[in-house]
Amino acid sequence: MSALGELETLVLLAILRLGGRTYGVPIRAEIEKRTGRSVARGAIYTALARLEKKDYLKSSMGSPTPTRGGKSKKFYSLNDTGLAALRTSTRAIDEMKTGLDIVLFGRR
Amino acid sequence: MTTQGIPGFFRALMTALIPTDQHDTVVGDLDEEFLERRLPLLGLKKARAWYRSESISIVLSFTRDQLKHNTSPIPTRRARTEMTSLFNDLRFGFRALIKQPVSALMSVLILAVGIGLSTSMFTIMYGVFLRGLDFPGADRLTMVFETNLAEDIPEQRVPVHDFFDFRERQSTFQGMFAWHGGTFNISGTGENPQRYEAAFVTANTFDMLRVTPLMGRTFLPGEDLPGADPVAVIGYDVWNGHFNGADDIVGRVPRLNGRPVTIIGVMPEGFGFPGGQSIWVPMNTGPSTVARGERPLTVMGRLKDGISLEQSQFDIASIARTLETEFPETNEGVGVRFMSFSQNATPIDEFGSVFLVMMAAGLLVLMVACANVANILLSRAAMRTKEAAVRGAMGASRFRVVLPFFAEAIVLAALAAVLGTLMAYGAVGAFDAATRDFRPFFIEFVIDTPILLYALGIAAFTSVAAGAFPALQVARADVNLMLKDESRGTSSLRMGRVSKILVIGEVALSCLLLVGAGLMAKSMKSVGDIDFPFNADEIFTAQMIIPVETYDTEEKRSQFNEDLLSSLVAHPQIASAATTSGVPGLGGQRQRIRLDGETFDRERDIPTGRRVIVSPDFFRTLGVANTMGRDFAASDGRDQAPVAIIGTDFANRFFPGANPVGQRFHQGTEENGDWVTVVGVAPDMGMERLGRQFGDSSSYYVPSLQNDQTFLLIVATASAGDPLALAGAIRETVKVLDQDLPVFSEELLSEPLGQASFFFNIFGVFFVVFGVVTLTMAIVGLYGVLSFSVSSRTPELGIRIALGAASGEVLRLILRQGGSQIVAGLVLGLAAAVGVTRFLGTFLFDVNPHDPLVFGGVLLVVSAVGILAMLVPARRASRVDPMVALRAE
Repeated sequence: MSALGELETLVLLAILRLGGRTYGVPIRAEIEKRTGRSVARGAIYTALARLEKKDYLKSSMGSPTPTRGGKSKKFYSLNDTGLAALRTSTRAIDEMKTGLDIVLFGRR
Repeated sequence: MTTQGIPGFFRALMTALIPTDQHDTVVGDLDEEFLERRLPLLGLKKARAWYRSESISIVLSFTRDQLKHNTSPIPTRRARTEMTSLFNDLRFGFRALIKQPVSALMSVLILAVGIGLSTSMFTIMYGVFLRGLDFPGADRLTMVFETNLAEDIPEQRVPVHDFFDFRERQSTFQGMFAWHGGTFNISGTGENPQRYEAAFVTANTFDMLRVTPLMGRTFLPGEDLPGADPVAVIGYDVWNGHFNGADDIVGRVPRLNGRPVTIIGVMPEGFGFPGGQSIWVPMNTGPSTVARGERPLTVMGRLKDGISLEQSQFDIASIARTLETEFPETNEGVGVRFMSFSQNATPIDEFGSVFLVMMAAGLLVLMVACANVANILLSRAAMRTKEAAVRGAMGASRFRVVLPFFAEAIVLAALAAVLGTLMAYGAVGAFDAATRDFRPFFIEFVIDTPILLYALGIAAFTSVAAGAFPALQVARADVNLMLKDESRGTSSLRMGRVSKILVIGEVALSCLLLVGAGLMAKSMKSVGDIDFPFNADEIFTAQMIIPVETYDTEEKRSQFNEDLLSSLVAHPQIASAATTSGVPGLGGQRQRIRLDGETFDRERDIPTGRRVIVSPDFFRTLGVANTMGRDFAASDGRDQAPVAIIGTDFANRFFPGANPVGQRFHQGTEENGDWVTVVGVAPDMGMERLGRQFGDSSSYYVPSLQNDQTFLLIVATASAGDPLALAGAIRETVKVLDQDLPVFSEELLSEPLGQASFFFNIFGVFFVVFGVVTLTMAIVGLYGVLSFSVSSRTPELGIRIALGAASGEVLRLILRQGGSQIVAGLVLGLAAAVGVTRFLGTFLFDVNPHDPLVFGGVLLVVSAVGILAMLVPARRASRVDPMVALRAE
């Protein structure tokens, strides 16, 4: 199991926040909304492709619609490995920042 | 159907470059967001721009990712063997180029500049002439004009009656719509009154254009009938500018030219059909309100599906023929002519030559670039003839022998195309920004699919043009001779003549472009040097329209003008003020001028002058003194004999050699119009627009008391301080007289004069850039050819020196070789310039297209620069050490 990059972590969290089965457009919107910074579309798609390749995501194709020019949506959701990886990665962050709130945010 | 409007090229780009398992979903996501953006707020143009830049950024992300993770970027198909060998050759060509990075880099740069310039020019051409309207299905729209060949009128607008007859009887259009222009003063909104350009349109206009409002609605059927409630649709700029983007704009009732009108809708940003208008009201003139043959309209129609332009033209033309028999008095000889919108908006004959010259100049630069690179490749090919000979001797087909030489050119052209397109992005962006304020609303200068295809096309052309010479030389060479050629193993290839011809061509082309640049530069200078008999920085101008709705008689308008003048001069800040219908740089109105006893067969044979209506203090305010006769006075009133003051140019043209004071002329075309008596002569003030030749600059002035005016220009000087501060004073004064009247275009007189010269400057700069770039290329070419020639002749020169030739003689030998090319190029180039510069006519302001100074200057500069380029290799040749040269043998 390789370590998750920051964007990969954000993408996995976004999928979870959006209820588990979702696609590129809302994922990006969710990250932008929550973090307040803009993320290139291309970066989202490459991150999704990498995560799928590492077998952290399972995907399924939706049916093609005319608003999408006849192209299908690809829905992603986390599988157990992905969830485990996310757990490891966020736990590491949590452990590392315990007790640092006063330094990081100026509060206890 | 729903993918309509998506830039196809970029969509295809993504499909091609994103891995197969990903591209469908990515493209789908982007299409979906595109649709959301295309909906009202952003508009199609912005959505397309967004799609283009997003797709590029996505493709780049994937490419970067793949490079980083080292996977194959494109799932490659199993290549066929010939293709593999072609790719091998390309790879080989690439490697060969990398081995000589300096010459490769130089070639790429040269080609990139050529491709960049020519692509920029094409983008501008395309934007002006070809892109046309950006409405859904715009290719099904056509304009309908009438012709009257009997009276030699190739194109005129359609009178109201004819339009309604066409519309009723036709069967080939989904609908026909029409408009005429006007202006509106908006008032009664709590803001200062403001003036906007307006169009009076038939109610179906927006539906036929297939445009939807940002807010509210457009016109309903019947709203253009006489007696309907007055309604208006406003543009984005009116909504944001005058109404501060109010949410409750729909339903408000401001006054338009004094009448209350209900606003029913707001159009999206950028919509300014047909010519930059921002208010639209229903046109409620119909056959019942005007006489047959009156009130011309501009007419368009949307073709029915499956109907061709020709079928429809036939349909309308047959109706016109029926009308001819029904109403011979008005419709005799009236035919029909169809035309596309952009063709009509930017008439080819007026601006076409301008842009065609620019386009040709761009292509010339590209050809020079190709010639240069061909030369560089040729000298490289010369080094590799042996390799080619061996390939040939081993039985390779001619194609396979030649291919590697082409491969280099293809690789160079491909790299140059990328770089050149980037350059064009910059240049086009700058041009777009520089012209934004005054170009027609539908013209847009962006690099999109058709432009990229053009760049691709010229890159292909470039690789063929640059690769063909060396490849042909190699293909033609005799294998036996080359293999036997033991000595240098490299240079027995006969490249001399071809190279020379290329250099001659380059010198000739740069002469041609430099002459153009010189003429343009001189023209720019003479525009800047025009000596006006007044100080344009001291004179303040402002404009206003007197609406005929509220000032419905000539007396009322004239009274307003008088009231305005007396309150203006009473204002303490104003030293002197006058009203006029035109100022220098903005132009007067063209009028037909006839003298006593002159008769003309046709109206268009009557000469024209430019009429300016002025109030008595006009000349005094500008500080211009008459050269002969008297100034206008209060006594030149309404009931007195009509008088005029003429410009010097007018005097020389119509009354040569005579004292013009006391002479009479007739203005307009009506037989029974008044005769006007000349009472004075004023110096020429450039009342014509600068864009025209001086030939049509005969201006004359008539007093405002004797001539009706609905458009007023105020000119005023300040009693003290900054003349721009008069803006407030004039607004106050006008507001006291009529609070509904806006004052607009407040500026110093130097502004319109500056704008008039802008045209010359922008094209002048283009030409100078073209000329300098080509000259640089020609120098590089000349230097390259001579250097190569010197190095391949080193042994020969060594022998000459060993046999006793003085270094001066060797120097002359080389100079003579290069000199003959320069002379040939100069002769050809200057001769061509003599023939071609007359096409520059419209650009040239007071400059002779065969200006001897410019031609002489180009001759000197090109010769001087050419000699410099020859000196370095020639000196190297003269210093050849015979021992070194012969030892190499």
